[in-house]
Amino acid sequence: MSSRSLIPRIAAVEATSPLATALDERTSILDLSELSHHAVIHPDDPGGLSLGLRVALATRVAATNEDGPLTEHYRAVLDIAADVPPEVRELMDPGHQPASEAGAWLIAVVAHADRLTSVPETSTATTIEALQAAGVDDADIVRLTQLIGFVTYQVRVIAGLRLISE
Amino acid sequence: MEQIVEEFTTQVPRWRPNVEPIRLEDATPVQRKALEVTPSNGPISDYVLVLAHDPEILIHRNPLFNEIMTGSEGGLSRGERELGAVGVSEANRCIYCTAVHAKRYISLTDQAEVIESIFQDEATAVLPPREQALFDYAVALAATPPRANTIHITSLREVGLSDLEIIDLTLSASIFCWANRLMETLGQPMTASEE
Repeated sequence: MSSRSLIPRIAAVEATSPLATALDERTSILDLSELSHHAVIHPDDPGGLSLGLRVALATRVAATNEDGPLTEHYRAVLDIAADVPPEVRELMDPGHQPASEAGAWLIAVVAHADRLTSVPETSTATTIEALQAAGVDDADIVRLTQLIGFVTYQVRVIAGLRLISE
Repeated sequence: MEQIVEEFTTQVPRWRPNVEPIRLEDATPVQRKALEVTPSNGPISDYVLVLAHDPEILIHRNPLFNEIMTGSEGGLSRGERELGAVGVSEANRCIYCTAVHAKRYISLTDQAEVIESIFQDEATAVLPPREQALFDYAVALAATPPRANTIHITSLREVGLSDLEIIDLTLSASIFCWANRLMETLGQPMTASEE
């Protein structure tokens, strides 16, 4: 699985390079990373976070981290996802904030996704209470945190692999 | 009276969840399966019971974490993997993760003075050359967007790191960018109550 898995593919690791040889010793980590990717983007039980919302937020995190190829990857997945409402699709752009008509739930989810992406250290017990007050249940708070956390991990492994191969 | 711990410490705080942990007796079969492997093979804590709200990711994340920090063979030493964790956790100001992994770093390397410098001067800490190169790379990778660059990689190679060792450092730093976001938002580090 590892040679075709997303992280080395997005990092453009060349198959015959010394880096690829070193990565062969970390196949199980690449495989577990791929399984983690599947679990946050395409879970069997998505809870309150639809596939479209998950991919739009993943695109947003990749874009905030200025990773062009990863942003393009998630955008392409979003493009072929069915039944994604426009107010969700637009969230792929970090400059876009949901309008008040989008509802308290979506506004709270996006605000927390942005905090988790860029300034997680500013989160307090009150931040989580505000999410709960907007109707985001505890399981969805955990799902959202894992999704954003995973993409922040993925972005940095990709960044490191690119730097090693430069 | 419990208080939130605001300063870096090697005294591991109590982690107080902000969302309700699942009750083990109510766990679904999928949740029970996900709880079979815990981070660093520790006990089933409130932290893993909070994460059990999303068992599909937990079942892969705990083995991933363990493989990156301790499981994978060869490459970077366990102690230096912990230094990557500490650098990132300091940059993200995750008091809990910093305490656990600073303590583990000291027990693996006996280099308490490295941790003292990091706690005192944080991102500007002056360290011995090898530790400096590892720490600076981890801190730069933690930024959003990441600020790590080829100068960091050159420094790592100059102090003797192989490609595999730089991969291992990248993995430990990156998994902590994820871990910090779980630990510092889903709960708070609290002083142990003095009774």
